[in-house]
Amino acid sequence: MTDMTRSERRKQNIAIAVMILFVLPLVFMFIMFFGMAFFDGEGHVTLSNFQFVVGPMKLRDQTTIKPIGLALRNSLLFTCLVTFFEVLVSMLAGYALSRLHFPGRRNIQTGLLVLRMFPNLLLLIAVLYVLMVLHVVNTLRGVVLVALAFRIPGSTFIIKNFFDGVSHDIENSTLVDGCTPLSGFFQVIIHLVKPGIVSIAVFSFMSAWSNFILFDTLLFGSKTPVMSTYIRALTRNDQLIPTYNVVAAMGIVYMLPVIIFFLLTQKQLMEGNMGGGKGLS
Amino acid sequence: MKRKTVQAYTFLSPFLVLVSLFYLLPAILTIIMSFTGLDATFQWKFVGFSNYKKIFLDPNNGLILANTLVYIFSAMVLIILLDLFIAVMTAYFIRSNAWASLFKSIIMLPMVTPSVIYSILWLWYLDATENGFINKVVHFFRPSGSPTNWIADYPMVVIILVEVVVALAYGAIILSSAIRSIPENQFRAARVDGASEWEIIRQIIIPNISSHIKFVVMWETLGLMTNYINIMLITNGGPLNRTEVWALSAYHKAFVDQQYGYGAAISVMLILVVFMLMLLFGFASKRVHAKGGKEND
Amino acid sequence: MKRIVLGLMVLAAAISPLVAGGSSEARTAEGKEQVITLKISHNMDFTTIPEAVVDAGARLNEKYKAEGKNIRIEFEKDYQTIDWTQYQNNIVFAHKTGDQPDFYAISDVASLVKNGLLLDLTDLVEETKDLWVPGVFTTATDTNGRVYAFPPDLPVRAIYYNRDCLKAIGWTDEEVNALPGKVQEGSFTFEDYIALCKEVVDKGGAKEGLIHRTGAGNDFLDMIVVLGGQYYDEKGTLVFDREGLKRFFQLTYDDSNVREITPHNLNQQVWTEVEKRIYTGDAFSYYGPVYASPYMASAAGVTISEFAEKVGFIMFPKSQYVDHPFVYGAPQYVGISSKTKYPDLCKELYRMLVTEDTDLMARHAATINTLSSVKAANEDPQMAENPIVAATGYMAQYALVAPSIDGLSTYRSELFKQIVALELGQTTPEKAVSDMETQITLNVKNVIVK
Repeated sequence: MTDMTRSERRKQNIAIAVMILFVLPLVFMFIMFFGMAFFDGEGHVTLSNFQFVVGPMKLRDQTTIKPIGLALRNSLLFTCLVTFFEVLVSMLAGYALSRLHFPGRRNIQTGLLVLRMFPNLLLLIAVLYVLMVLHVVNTLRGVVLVALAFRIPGSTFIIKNFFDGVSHDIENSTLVDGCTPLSGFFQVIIHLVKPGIVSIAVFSFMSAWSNFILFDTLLFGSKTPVMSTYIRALTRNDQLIPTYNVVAAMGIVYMLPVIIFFLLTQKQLMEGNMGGGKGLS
Repeated sequence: MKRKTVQAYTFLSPFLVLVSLFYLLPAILTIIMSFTGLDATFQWKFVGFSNYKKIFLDPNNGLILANTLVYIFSAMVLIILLDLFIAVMTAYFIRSNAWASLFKSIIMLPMVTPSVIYSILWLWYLDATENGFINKVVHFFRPSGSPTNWIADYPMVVIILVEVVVALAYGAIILSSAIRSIPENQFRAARVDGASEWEIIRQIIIPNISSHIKFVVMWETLGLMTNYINIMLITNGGPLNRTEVWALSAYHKAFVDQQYGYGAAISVMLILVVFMLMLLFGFASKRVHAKGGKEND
Repeated sequence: MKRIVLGLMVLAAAISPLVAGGSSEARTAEGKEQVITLKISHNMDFTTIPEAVVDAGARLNEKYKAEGKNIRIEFEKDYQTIDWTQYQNNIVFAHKTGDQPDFYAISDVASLVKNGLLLDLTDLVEETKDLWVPGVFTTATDTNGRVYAFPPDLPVRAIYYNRDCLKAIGWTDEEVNALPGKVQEGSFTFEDYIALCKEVVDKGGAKEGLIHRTGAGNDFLDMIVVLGGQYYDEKGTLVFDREGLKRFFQLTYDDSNVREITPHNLNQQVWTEVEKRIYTGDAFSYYGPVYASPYMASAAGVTISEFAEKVGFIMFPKSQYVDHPFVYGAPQYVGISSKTKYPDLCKELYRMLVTEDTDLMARHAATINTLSSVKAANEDPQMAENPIVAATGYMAQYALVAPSIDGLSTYRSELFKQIVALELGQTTPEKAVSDMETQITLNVKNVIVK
């Protein structure tokens, strides 16, 4: 790649220029929006829009916004639980489907292909009913289970492909070295599919963190606010309660972890291991 | 039972439990619900096919179907064209990794933005008054004009745009990594033969990544068909059902009008369509799956 | 064997959140004292309603203490600001799962009664009959005459107008202040009012003549009534009145597209931007609940008395179709869950609000600037100083209260969809009527079409 011809270099420069023009409106849009967070109504620079981070924020005489702490905590808890269990469950299932031979394997593999594409949002009506029967409706626990279930077909599929890619020789040689299949699984194979694990963890984290619709339909009441429902409650279609400046400030608080995570794991995101996400939210 | 079988099902059991509880059971329940008059009282009262009859009686559903087709088709075409454009740019013309990943990161920005924030960003951008960003810009150049009511006047265009921008990254990244994996000597040979860049794109790049393109088409079609969140947050189907799409109408009937049975019937119809599409796409996707494993090493 | 055990452990870990579901909130009694925890839920900003109950509970605790009873009431509050449909859905689901609040706010009494989720309050109402302002139970009563909800107030929906806009077109102070009286005696009609909105805009008194709320709501129903339309019968059945609706849709369409007194894009605007325009005089008039005035005042950054100096209120005037002025009153009903473990205690708290603790009722009514549903609360000193109540108090005697109407929420949301499209000029009044009729007859089981 270093030995580019002059014409290749020229074409690259043109392409870079074209791409800059292409992404410019997008960059501009995001910067302008989030930039508003640092200005008050009169255009002076201020941090007062972030008051909801430290305590209750009085908007006008009639409305007080609750501090964001609880929502932040719940979102974090939810995201960590979902990410952890998603990786665990899909790794076990992916390993079994890739490496073990057992009756029913083919059927489950085919089922996985279908489930991975299944329009799960259309099942929400019935999912709500199942949660009611299980007595976990209106709890964060219940939403964790649903979010997990909705995502594991996709991530199992990805991780299964990673296992498929690990050569049987390696596994066999660990067996020769005296490991049982189980310790082989933990010591060697996991190490080999690490990129796959990171990849599903990244998507799991991002999707869980920005989830809205599951909370919106499965959690009632404001006892368990999460970031998305906290912001949504203040920005319903017919009534934007805070100013755009405050919403932008909330957006920054909400997106900060995503951006940090994004920067840390950019490489994984770029490598095309994206089979798990149907859009992120 | 063999030990291997026991081990396999032990490993699979959390997966199987979750999937049965939250996929299979709800799927069966949805079908049953669609034959009931389940409403706010949540009592199971069987009403035969009357929910399905209602789907055909409601004249709005014709409009909703048309909206859905226009929405999916236009968004799909735009997404694929732009994805190809971005992929060719960032993976073929731009060889510098730093630049390529900078552009891809920027394009991923909408995708990683949570939908509650993403929607407000657009609502602010296209606000109907002079507070809206676009209207401010227009006002700057043409101070005499009155602000344009973007979302209400061009609702379908707006939601297509919103969805294209958010969906762009997924396909672009899949396609660009596919292009990167085309052996370099194929390009060299073509250049030696004097092929133009356009011919290289048409005769080498596109045929090489055609299975990936098919996969992206399928994935995005199913996504557009069933994911209604951004539409719900931006126009909520309005004004007057002009952006109401199939999946969103199932949500509205069930959770807003509290006609759970009717909503379930609409969902069942859509699920059937999705299944048919899956079968249709089945072959194309299997080939990508077979490949997918290898390129991940 | 080892691997099976390990596998099982992993399985257990994975599904443990599922199994751990059972433990509900523990209600422990500390020492010998019996603690009763009541859950109280509310939606939207008027938390003085549930707070009245909470404070009544505190007074009851004092009483218990004085009597030497070892009982203490505690409240678990859940105040929200979400869409009303969603709030009520949540109440239904909460009941299904046994996680229901003991007290909650109500947006649609009829469907909750049908669901059997509201405690029958008829005996309480019978016992305190003479203490209430007449008519406050109309919407809370089912067809058998049983009462299921508690009215904490009696807010009316009226027409706001900005005095400065009228002065700007040459009205004198006397003329401006005489307007409510002229509506009351019937010499200023609805037709005069629409003409006045146009005149104000034409003569530059305001940019907008008439604005309304930007979401589905009951406000529009009053406009249907003033145009001779009907949306319910005396039994509480939904009525689809083609002629009346046609007139309303024509008015809505013309206001935006012919008379140009209502902006086309009103419903796409941010509400906080819209509501301040009544005080600033950018908009001449508005129709909706009087309790919106403190919001409008704070949106414009002024106190409620400054607001009341500039903004006046009139009733819906008599019209070609209706021979007397009127307003609709709509108490913001709250209720007790039918599944509460402490029905008597809950009712006792309501009884206290009506009998001895009317100051708490007055506190709520004064906070939101409306009349109270309880006579004694209206005499309370907290009410006397309120400028909005002073300006609108007389309307109570003209107030109509609609019964509880099955299917009204569907009607309201379909109505609003058509209003949005009409104002944008995207549909015609005729088409709007027939489209809405199709939807209403399809989606509401019990409706009279005429």
